[in-house]
Amino acid sequence: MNIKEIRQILNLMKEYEIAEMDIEREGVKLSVKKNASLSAVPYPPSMPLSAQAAFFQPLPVQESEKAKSQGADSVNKEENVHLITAPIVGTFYAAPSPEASPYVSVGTKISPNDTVCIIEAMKVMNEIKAEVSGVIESINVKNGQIVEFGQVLFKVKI
Amino acid sequence: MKLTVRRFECLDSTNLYARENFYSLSNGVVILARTQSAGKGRRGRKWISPDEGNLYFSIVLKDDFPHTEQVNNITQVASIAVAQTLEFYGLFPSIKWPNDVLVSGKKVCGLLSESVIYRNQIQGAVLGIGLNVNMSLKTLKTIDQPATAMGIELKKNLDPEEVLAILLNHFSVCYACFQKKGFIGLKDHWIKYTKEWIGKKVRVENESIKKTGSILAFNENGTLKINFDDNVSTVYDGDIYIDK
Repeated sequence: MNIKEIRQILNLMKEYEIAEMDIEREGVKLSVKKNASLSAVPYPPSMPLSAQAAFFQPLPVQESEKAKSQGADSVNKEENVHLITAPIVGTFYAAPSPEASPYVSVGTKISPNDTVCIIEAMKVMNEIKAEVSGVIESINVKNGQIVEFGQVLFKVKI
Repeated sequence: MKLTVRRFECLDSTNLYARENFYSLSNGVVILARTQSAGKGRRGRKWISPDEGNLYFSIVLKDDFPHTEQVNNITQVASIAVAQTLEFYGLFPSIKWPNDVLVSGKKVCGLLSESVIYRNQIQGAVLGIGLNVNMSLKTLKTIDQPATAMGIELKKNLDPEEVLAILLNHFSVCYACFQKKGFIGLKDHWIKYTKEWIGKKVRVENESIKKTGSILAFNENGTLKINFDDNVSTVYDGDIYIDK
């Protein structure tokens, strides 16, 4: 069994959505299992649904799928433009408090250690740093908006 | 996880200190201050932190989170540990989503976590806990919402060091379970302290929403499922209040 054959097996598993496969041939044993961590389910899927109380519900899978696809869309194709994307799902806040001025506006010069926004989920404040030097070219989300993983928050001219 | 306490007389904010020194502090270090000059709450709110025998501390958590969004459950994990501690002392706590711990319907503990992100990856988080242990009635009256303290509910002064030890012990157990199984591993505890909210008509308030609906369920990632008049929505942040 060579690499080419293993690739073919993996492609077949993908094509037919097979999660696990064991093959034994010519004294070689191959065991392939789809990695659960690559799945879109937010938490370990081992817990049977029946074991959950009625009011402790799994999230609909499409929400995570949506997040995944949006993450893939955030790949930057423009030259000298850096995209700051959401590393986590939550509410986008442009300022540290409701009364405060926004961290950045279009045209603001930023340095890597500057905070550009907060994404909050359940009282966990995720402060997002610029991590690049440049100028804010656009702000792609609104204050108070729910953002998904990988969603573009800012375009930065570098 | 081994928790090591570092004590300070006064800090501006234990969360701020832990965040500023995040990379030089070890996983599990607890930054404890007798008083805070600028204790923080959510979205720029203040946490009143007098030197009256309360607990103000932040725990540095640097472990990997197998699923990035698990970081959002940290305060909920801590709220369960706080509720268990209150129960140990004979109190009857409940948790108001997402993580306010209440006794007799009044807030006794506030939790605020701040993550540390580098290159779009969560490096860890600082979990801040403010627990009213021996707060005076006079100080409680200065708080802008119904609040109480353990000592007031139990009608006696408590040793904050003993409360801290018990709380950290409960947190260690809850956090280990959370790391192993995710938030769903704490499902039974969560339901125990939050079940009274299911079906309740509530007002949800954050900077973008001010709506009324009834609580349908908690999602397994700790978010809230609410039936508003026009649709069913998932709520990620904000405060809920009983709609009278």
